[in-house]
Amino acid sequence: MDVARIREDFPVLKRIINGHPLVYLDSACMSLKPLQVLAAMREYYEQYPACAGRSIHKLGEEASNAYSAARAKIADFINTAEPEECIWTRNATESLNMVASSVKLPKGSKIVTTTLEHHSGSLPFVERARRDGLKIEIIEAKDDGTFDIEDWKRVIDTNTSLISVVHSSNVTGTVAPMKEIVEIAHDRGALVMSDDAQYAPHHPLDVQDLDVDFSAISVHKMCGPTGVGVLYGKMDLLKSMDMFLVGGDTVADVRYVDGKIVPEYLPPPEKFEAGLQNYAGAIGAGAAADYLQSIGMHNIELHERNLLSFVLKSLKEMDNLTIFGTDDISIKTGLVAFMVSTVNTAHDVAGYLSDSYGVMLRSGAHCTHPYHYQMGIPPSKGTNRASVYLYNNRKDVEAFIEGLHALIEASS
Amino acid sequence: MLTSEILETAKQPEYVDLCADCAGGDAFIAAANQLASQGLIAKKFGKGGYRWHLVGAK
Repeated sequence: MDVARIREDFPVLKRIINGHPLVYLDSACMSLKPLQVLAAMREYYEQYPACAGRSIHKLGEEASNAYSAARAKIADFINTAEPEECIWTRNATESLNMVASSVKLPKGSKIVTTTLEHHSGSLPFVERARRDGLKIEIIEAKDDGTFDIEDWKRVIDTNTSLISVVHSSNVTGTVAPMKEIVEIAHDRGALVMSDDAQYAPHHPLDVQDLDVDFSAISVHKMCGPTGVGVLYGKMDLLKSMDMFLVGGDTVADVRYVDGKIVPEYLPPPEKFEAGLQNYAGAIGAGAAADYLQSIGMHNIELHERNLLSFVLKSLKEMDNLTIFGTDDISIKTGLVAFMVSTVNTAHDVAGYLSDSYGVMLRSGAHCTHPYHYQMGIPPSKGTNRASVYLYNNRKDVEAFIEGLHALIEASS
Repeated sequence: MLTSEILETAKQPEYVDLCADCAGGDAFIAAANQLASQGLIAKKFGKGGYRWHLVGAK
């Protein structure tokens, strides 16, 4: 993988921040965007900025074709059985809410989730349980972000209807044993909602091989535009779900019979895509999937793991620093959370590295307050998170480590 | 005051109406950096982290 060549695709990497070349280690929050994605979106706005699926003129036809092609590209990226199993959403959060709100769950059944979830992976299901009087049980992650598979066997019972589990944690980077969880869940008749917001951008994802029932993806984390997400669902489940949003584009017909308005809804994906869609965003998402696949997801995964090994080795050699998450690189996405003991809040670490070294990393509780509370860390103190992606190189890590050394010296 | 001291203070009941998103502190940091860029407050990094003070205050 030619990282120097890849970096040319990301103009922002040429920026100088506070006198230092930009070192971007916050891709777990927001990935940078390559020229290819920007060009695809610009082409839509410049050449065929029309309504897809509505207008039959030439521009409308081109928009429809590009919109459909983008869906097919995303479907190929995660290997769905058919493109129509991919629903465009605003982000993974909306995808998770769509399932939590609309999937049919038996009365009195139980939802299972974990302490490691992003708030977007737990709260929609907490609220669904509250709405319908369902039970909800929480599996506690181990301190290193891994799970004891026996906990899953114990907690998932035949009354469990749905599991919401983060595939790759946005704070510890640990990858959940998804195949085992799916096997246990399906054996007991439960559905599995996989939060792939952090997994899909960094690893090859095959939803059919994993046999998950639903998967949520945020395109902004995979080199695509903001405000675009995807919900994958098995077609029979999508068909059986209640409507989420209704209105234009969701209907085959709306009749007026005996003083009543009678809708006849379209099948998925249109069933879930009410109103004018983010065509440019979807086209950008398709371009992002093309871009990542042209480099190869296995190559990206390997590159990140090599960099992560270097990060972890460097951090472990430092005093006054606690690392969170497992050491096992084989079950880890390219990110590491840590805490510096000489600084009272993680925000100051991020502020110092940005101000003094041009290093961008995340601070706070990363929308995973329950895990931070479990670890005894108040969200206001928080942790720092450095995350790597395909465009990062060893120099980035060296600048980050140099900045950390200086920070610890200045704050001790 | 250190950032951590301000965040702790902001969580007290008397400031609950003033301080949005104080659980995580992100909003405070963003607001403080804006005030610093406007020259109203300043920060200096040292033992324990950043210390914030009003510009002109001792």
